[in-house]
Amino acid sequence: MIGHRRCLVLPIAAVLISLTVLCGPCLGASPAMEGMIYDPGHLKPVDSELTVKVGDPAPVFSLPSLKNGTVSLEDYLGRRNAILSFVPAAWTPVCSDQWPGYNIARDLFEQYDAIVLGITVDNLPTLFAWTRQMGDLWFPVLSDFWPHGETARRYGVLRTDGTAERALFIIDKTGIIRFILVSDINRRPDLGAIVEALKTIHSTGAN
Amino acid sequence: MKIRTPWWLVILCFLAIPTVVAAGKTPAVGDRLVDLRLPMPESADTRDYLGLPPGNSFSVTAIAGKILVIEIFSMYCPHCQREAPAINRLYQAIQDSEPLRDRVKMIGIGVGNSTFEINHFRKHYSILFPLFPDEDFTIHKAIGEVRTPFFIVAALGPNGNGRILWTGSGSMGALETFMARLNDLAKDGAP
Repeated sequence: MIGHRRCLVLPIAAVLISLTVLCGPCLGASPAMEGMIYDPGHLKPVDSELTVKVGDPAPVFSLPSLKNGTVSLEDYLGRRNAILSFVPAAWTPVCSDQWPGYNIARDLFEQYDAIVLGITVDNLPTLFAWTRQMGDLWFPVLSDFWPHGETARRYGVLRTDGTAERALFIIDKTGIIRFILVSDINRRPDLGAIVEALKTIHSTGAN
Repeated sequence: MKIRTPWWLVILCFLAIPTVVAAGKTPAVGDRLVDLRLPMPESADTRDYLGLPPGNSFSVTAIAGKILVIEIFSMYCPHCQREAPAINRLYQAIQDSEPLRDRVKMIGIGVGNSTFEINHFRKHYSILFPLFPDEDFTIHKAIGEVRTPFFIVAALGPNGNGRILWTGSGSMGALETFMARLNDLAKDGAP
């Protein structure tokens, strides 16, 4: 019996080490975040089902923001293409890097009349503390805390544990969803794909 | 009693081995740099700067010079963004230095970054030295998944052969200190 257990130890240890290594790239990698990021390990890539599709009118919402009072999707109708960037939660891997990347991509987004709206299910005090280390974000950061994750739920990106998917929706100036990307929660979406989608929307859509 | 290991556990074990082997250790002074292969730059100026022979890819130790400075960065890392102007000043100081210009080469490797993302980083910060993508984290894993930015100074050429001379994490430090270090390391007869 003991021998059988020994036989199990090696393969199981190898698999566990493997999973740890595979999760490595998910970790928040900046020294600025060292010791501050909660690592939930490798998560189920997608844990929700979309309730909207490309071509649908975007569900409207009004959410409290860090700097701009209450922000509504309708504020941008007729003026800007809105990129909704849902990220799972504050102080988690990958998310802690994603918005700082968008912070240096402002010119890329603005050339296509686009604004980023960053959304998490966290409350404002948490978002305040978390985003302070990202530098001065140029786009609104919105709290979908209460009713908890209601906006994420209406788009179909609220996970079963109450966090959101790593998801992007691009809504054109007429309020129609033109692009949806629900990424593997453990991976960051490529900036190039977002810019390519914006280019198409700008060249073919309601400008 | 003969104990039999379930066949599926044996297969899982073998599947796990390449992943474990691929995970390298953090570079340390005195180590040999692991073989980091990068795609051949499209720009003739960049190939010329790095002194690369023809090919589709190259090993960083094939770069012509005596010393190689590698910055491991990410477009998404705020620390790397803040450090970018300082790194540009370092590159410029090397290019302005008669003894160092041909002896010290610099490259950046963007971990988890696509070609689009490193090109955006280059344009946004007017980076003058070559940047390479590591979109699937292959290089990042091979160097122990260091935090970014991370700096490696390695010896090139048949005598140096990728020996690591210095590493730094978080910041390259004061420009004058870094330049003094490079001047020492690049001297004829330096260890």
